[in-house]
Amino acid sequence: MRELVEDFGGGTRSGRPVRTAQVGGPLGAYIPQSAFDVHMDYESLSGSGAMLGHGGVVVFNDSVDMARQARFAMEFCEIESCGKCTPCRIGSVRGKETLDKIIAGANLEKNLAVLDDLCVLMTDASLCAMGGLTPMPVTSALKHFPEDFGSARQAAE
Amino acid sequence: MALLKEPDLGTPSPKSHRTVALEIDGMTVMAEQGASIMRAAAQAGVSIPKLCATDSVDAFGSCRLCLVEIDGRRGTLSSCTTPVEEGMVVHTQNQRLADLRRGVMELYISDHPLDCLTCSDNGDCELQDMAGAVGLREVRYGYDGDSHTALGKDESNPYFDYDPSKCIVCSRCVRACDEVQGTLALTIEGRGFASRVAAGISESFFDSECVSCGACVQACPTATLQEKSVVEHGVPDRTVQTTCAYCGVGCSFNAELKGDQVIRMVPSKDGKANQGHSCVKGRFAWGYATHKDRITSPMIRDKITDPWREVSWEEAIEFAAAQLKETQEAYGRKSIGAISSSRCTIEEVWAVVRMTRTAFANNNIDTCARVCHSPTGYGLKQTFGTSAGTQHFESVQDSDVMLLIGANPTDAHPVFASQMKRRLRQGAKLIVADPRAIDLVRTPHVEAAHHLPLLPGTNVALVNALAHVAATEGLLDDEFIQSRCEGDSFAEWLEFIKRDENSPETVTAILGVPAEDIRAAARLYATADNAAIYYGLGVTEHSQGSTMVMGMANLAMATGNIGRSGVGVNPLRGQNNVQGSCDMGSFPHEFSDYRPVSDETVRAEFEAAWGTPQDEENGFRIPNMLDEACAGGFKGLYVQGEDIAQSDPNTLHVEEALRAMDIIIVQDLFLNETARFAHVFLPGTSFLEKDGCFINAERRINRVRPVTKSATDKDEWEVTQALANALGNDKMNFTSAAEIMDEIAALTPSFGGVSHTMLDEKGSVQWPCNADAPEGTPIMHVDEFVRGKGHFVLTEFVPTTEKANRKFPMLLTTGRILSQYNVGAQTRRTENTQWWEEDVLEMHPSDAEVRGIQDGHCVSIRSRKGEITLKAVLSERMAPGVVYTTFHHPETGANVVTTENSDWATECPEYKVTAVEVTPANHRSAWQEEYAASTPNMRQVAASSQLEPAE
Repeated sequence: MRELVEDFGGGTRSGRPVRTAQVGGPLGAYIPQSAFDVHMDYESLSGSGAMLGHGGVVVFNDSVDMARQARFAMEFCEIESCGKCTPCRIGSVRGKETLDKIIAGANLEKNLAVLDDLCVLMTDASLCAMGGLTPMPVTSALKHFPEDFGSARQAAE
Repeated sequence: MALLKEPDLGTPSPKSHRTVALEIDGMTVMAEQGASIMRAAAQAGVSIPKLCATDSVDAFGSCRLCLVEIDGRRGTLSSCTTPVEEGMVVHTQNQRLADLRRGVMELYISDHPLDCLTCSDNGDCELQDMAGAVGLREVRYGYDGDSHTALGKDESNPYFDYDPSKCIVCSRCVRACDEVQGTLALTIEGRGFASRVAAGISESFFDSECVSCGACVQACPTATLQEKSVVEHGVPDRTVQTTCAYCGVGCSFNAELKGDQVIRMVPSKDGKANQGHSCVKGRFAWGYATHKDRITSPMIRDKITDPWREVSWEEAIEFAAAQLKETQEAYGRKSIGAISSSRCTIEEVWAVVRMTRTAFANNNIDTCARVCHSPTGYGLKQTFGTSAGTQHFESVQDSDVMLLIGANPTDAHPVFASQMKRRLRQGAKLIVADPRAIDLVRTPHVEAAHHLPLLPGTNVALVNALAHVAATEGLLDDEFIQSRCEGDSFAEWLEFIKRDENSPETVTAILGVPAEDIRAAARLYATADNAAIYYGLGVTEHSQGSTMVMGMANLAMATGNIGRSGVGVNPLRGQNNVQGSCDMGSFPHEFSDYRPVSDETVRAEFEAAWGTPQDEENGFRIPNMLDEACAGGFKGLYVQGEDIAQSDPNTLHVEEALRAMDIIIVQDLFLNETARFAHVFLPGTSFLEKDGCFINAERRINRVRPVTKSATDKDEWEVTQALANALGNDKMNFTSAAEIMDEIAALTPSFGGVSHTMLDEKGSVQWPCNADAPEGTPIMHVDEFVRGKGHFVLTEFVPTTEKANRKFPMLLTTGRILSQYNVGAQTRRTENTQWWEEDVLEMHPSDAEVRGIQDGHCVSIRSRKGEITLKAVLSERMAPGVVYTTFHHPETGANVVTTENSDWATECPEYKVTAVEVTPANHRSAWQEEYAASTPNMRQVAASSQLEPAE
């Protein structure tokens, strides 16, 4: 993957340092730059908590705000949801709203816990892969870039 | 009993006879193959949380509350959509599942109003139940996020509200509308979080295609779709199971009450006729029972121009008895008679029949079957040996082809129509023979393979042509004919039916239907594995009604379509107990079980039981009574719950006959049209007050139980008994309806095994039910016909004498619509009138154009008998040359126009063919003017103060 991004892709367009890449589409995981040494195949990506998905790679430079990207995943799900199952229909909206609260620094600990539970719920209980995969970009962002969510974020702002 | 909560197994039965063994929460469970894990668990007593699943519709898998874990399978699976498998090991409860379920409920409640305490569904809400079941304690999302809680209600439907703020988008209503009712009026509008239930495209429920059957309201787990009566009065607290009193489907209902007030009628899931479904009439239109027009005190008057006087029961009975006796003394034993009601219970009918045969000492007893299905009784008796339909309703689920003739089930038998539509959606084929393009010709997900829009009055030519094609193209079932039918009559029939006069090419000109269409329909019917005939009054109400019934019986026998599930010849009977009133012997020529009065042995049985001599001579049929009244020889009539002045043909003649009588006793809920000419009014009881049985079109004996106390303080049979006893010849001493049932069983072989106790245990049975068939008889003529061998009858087509000509160039045919019922005495006193405020004349636009008539214009319709004015509605459902109206509103007087032409065998009137002319009009007809002017006086009740003795 590093070869793909840095050699074939030539890094970021702006020339700023690469921070992360989302692989496999809007519901794919964010892979931090430090973990780019991974084969671009199903098994390897799956092994590192990501997925190959449709194979698309979106590269972000160091100006990206991962909390906003997590919110984007929920918003994407809200827009795309068919509305049949409850976790996706209502969960995506509540996920977006909870991330808004996190971004605003409200009740951080509680809201991060709520978000965690919601991600498990959407993963395990959604009817199809739309709702089931939405947590993937969210949880990967939370896992690899906690500084964009927690108190460090508030300190930085 | 306390409020009955019928068990909900979550998903429907797969109707499999095989079972598999699996383990659920450590228990070994046997389940039907193909059943869902949810259903298997529920049957084993394990209740898995659910919201979108209910066993009246297929599994959907959307709420995600019912997730389970299965050993060897990844993730969590919805138990409603996962079928059981041999050896499967299922876990329905663990921490992970509990967390997921709580998470789902937390999401639901985050978009739901928190007004449980003031909600109309409080205590009867599945969302509330599930929140409790999963242990939801807080909603951590808060309540300031995006929500639907501010959406406003749609209160347009007169019977239920739609509150989108409470909708959980489970789609149960949409699926009930699709799968149970088959109207497909509802949908989920929008997508994602915006998803919401909608009736049509941005329409209100009232303006949409919704037919108000109530299936959606019943399916709704929350207060989103809620009966207005529950909104107003609260959740009911007790249940009485009973039977609907509208059409011949005979739906079982749970009447739900609070104290002695009926709050709602909910169709019973274990009702064998309706299987948990209902229509707008049975479900909602029962408010007439407490309508202000209801008369609850007996009344008498000397002359029909006098105002009515309220009197005691004793005085009314004494007055009636004296008048009847006087009449018989003056004009002879046969100068009086009775008409029993097909709206009343068999026990009440039995009392009237017995009174006629004992106290009146004659056979002048008839019933409204005279004007509807008397040809069915005659025709099926001749050919098969019994006067009733051959199948149970369930049979239609095995039909591959349905031939529907002269019936409009979606309007007149809506609950059975839903069962037909379910089977048609599965791929069965439909042939419709009807002058109108009824709904079933083309309706969502159902389209008839053939619509044969024959001219009114040509049924027999059609059925002969269908049989001709089968006979000449080698499509007869020789084996069935040989083993089950008479050789002689078949051979004669075969020779007749093969004649060229019966070929489609010959009759095409008579029918106005292309020969090729007739051939194609005949082939479809004759080559089907299981072909069933369903028919209505479009068959019987003709001068050749009986011939047509026998023609259909011939066709069914010749093609081997009798004696098993999926086939048969099935009348869709009109009234709730018309089958029963016929079975009880409400005929001038027959005792119960259709045994002739000329039969000495039968007479002897009744003489022994009743202690009075039985007349061996046939009595008068209704038309004979009326004719004799005009001639001066028939002077007294007891009419129980039938309104001949509105329902019988040629109103002017009926009115003349009624005016000519000296004593007319009407037993009814309301001062109906016949009561305008009556001298004694005996208030009757509504079905909500009755105790007894109704018998539906499939011969099913259903219990009717008193839901509320009699508004008149008496049972109807008690009143009849009092009158009979006052007349002196009889000594009826029944103390309950159950005792009457016992007498019926003792004197009626087909009912030998029936009692109220037995019905209360079994739910319902279909007669014959006796020592030979202790469980009843769902399908008749299985191994042999009731008469032994099936009898073929020659059915030559003889055109009616009621012909269109230059003066009367069009043909009028009449029928029923969904929201109204027959003479409308009940439905006109409910909110159903919002759908059908007046009778209108449907006509084809081309017929209207040449007459200068526009949609909504008043038109005069004139026949050889009379003239009325009503509004024209232009509709391409009509064939050109044919017009259609209903007779639900008395002031319209539809039967002023119809004639006394009638079936040759049974005198069933030819309502379906009247030659008429239609012209633009700007005033009411003479009869309508006279009706409007005279009726208020004829209905006048003296103010009670006038009853006080003069000082």
